[in-house]
Amino acid sequence: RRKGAPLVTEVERKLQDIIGRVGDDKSKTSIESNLEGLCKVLQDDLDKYRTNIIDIITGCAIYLPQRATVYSTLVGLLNAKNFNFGGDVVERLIAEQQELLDNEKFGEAQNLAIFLCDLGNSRVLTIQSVGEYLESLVAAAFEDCVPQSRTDWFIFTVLRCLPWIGGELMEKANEQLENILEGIGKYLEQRNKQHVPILQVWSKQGSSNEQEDYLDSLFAQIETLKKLDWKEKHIPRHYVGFDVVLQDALQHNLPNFAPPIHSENSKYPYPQVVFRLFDYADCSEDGMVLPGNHSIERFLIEVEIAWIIEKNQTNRKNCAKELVAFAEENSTVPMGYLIFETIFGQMFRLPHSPLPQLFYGSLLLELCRIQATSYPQILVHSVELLYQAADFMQPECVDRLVDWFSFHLSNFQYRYSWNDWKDCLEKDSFCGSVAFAREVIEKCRRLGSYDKIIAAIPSEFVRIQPTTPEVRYMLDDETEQGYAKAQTFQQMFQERQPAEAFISELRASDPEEGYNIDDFEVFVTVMLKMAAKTYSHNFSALSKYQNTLKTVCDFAERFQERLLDTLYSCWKTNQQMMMILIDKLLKMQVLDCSQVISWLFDDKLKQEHDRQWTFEVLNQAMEKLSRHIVSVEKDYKELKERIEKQDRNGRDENNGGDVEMTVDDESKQKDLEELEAQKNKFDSLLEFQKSLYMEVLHKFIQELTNLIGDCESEAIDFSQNPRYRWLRGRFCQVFLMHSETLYKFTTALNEELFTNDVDANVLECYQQFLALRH
Amino acid sequence: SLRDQEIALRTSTTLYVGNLSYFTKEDQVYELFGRAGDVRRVIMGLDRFKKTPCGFCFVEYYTREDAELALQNITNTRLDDRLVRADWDAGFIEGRQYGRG
Repeated sequence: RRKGAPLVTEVERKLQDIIGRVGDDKSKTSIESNLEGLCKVLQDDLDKYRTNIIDIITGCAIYLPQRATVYSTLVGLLNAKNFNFGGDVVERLIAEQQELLDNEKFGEAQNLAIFLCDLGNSRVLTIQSVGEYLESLVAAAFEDCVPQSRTDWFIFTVLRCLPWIGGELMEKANEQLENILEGIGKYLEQRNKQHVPILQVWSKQGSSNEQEDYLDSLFAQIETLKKLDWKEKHIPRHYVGFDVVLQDALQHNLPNFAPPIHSENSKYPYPQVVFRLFDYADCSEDGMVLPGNHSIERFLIEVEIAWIIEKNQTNRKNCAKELVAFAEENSTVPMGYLIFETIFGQMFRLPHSPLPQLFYGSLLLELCRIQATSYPQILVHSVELLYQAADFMQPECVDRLVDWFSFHLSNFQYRYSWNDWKDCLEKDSFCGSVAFAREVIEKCRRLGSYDKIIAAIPSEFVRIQPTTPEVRYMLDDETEQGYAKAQTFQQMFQERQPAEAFISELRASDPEEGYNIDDFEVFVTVMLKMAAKTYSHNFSALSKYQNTLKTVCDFAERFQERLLDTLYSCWKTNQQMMMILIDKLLKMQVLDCSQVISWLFDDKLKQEHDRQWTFEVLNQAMEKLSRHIVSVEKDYKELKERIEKQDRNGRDENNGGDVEMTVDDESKQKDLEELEAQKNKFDSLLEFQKSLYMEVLHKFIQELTNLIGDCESEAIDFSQNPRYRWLRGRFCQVFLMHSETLYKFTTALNEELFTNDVDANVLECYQQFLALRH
Repeated sequence: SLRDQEIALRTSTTLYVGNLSYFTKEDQVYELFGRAGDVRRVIMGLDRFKKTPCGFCFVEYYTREDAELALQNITNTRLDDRLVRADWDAGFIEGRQYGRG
């Protein structure tokens, strides 16, 4: 028996290996003959290792969606030989789908739906029952009082299944097919599409490639496919080669789809818009034709590229290799363009890209490296198109574009046809194209050096070129007001006097005033100047004099404001330093989030609102607070669970009294006290977070309303005003970046902030944000 | 011991970064590695005698995931035109910043 156990796992491993690899097209033999061979092998083991085999096939159906037709054919062949086995597989897949849905794994459950439909093609299931299954999915979309994001999933799933099974349905169950399509049409007609603008990378004016809602687009593709009698050119239909074997197989009936239970906490996937960068005219070389926007191949190919990316997300080299191999297998399509389009589509996806930004950057580098003769041109072409659309891009996407492109350029010695961007030099500094050019240059400066980037860009770019990122220090001048005080502090620093000595030096004669605010400015200025050399010098100065800074700043808010002003006056030409110092001071709790936020919205900072760093500081401060609260919540929940578990165990064991009861009681009491403390901490943090987020949104509302008023009084169309558009975009960015947190506060937001008094143009952003979950 | 070393490497949030130019500065390292996540600190490798940068540094993150992301995506990309080499480090200990000149 002991000897038997490892044998099973070995067989299992072997089975996994041969089944998992049957769809690899790298092998010399064809997939059809692989399948035939595999079938022979499995047939003997079908009874002995039935559950193992079913497990593995189920896993392949869920996690290898691009091999769906390989595995549906395999199940078809096995079913033809062994009807019961086929039934068991179907039963298992249905149970699995239910479980995936219960666990909110919607992508995986969708893969299974497609697979089940494809089992109609390989004669495991009757077409009739597949049609009914899809009808029941459509019916589920008409449920009342549930969010649209839930019902969207049902429709999306049916639309995704149709390219696989549409042809068979047309032949054998046309009435049902018509019924399905009609149902989808009706659904889409009454659907709320308020979410679309907030998800679009650029607005309609930005490019001829409009970004459609994902369901509208896919439905249009399906309708085109229907007109072509469901003849698509991308799905490899392996079962066709086994027609003779399969046609006599006994078939099962697929039961109707049972929708998962909806609860208030259920989270469904966000809606999407379709990102298109290229059209026919962009890539006509070599007689290859780009599938049109509404041809189903465009969708199917994009899904397959996305799958290759997802599968290789931790290894950019393999990812690039597989993408290039995929392009070579499909040589009739300009696949390079579609690969780039898909990558940029993911990079810009709102609210969040599926993978980290850095990954896309390193993947694009890798693609350009291994296809050095063709892909760099596609990349340059992409940047051209993106630059042209930049004035109408959402600031969040401009930020991502800047981060990527500066990283890319730093790998190519900042060589670029910079003169292509000359036209933006004439534009308003709040235009997206100016922001793109200026911030790319700024970030190249940070990655390389000031001299290198200045040497790389044309001299006309002086308007948007960075200033030398050095510390500004005026207190060496004897005529400056703080000169004498600066000398004192300098000496004290040189003598390595402790933080407390500075506190006494700063104390004001009037105790109500606390500390002398001008001296405090001088102190901070001298400290920053002496630590200017590197970040490490700065950090060690901050931690050495943390006590001085904190004591003074805790005394009154005006000291925090002055601290921020001083940082800015010393380091305004080095935005990276500004960001790092503010972040550090927040972490050290010298500065409060709310002080930083009001400072960022203060009049004196408005001249910086066209720059990336101000909003980066804002969003990072908010993000870090959220992360902190999430971790406090996790600790609290863990403790709660532990105590509840102990309680249960205690009750089970402690039916007869025990001497040690008192000890238990004591430690229990301690636990409960700690739990109470944790809960209070969490609750007050949450309350703090709420008021902070509300404050940020309130500042935006004020600012935007003022801008609208200003424009109207000058009879300018505010919607075309660059400053207004940019700030409105930054407002949307807050909603998008912090959507998860903001959803928690919707009741308060509805009642206290976004009331009917708010200008409709401003309110619209909030409504679009709400629509993401509605 | 070897085992401790292994465990340290598997849980580390610190990367050893090599093949840097002697002219690469701390703020450049922050900018590049900050793209993978929040950097706790950067320690520049210094020549034991001259106390000048000598082509390597340590980058410590707050989380393992961020460090992994950096390792996967920054290794073998360029900083100051040199291919950066990164690998796990068991964690910085004072004194290790002094390399060979």
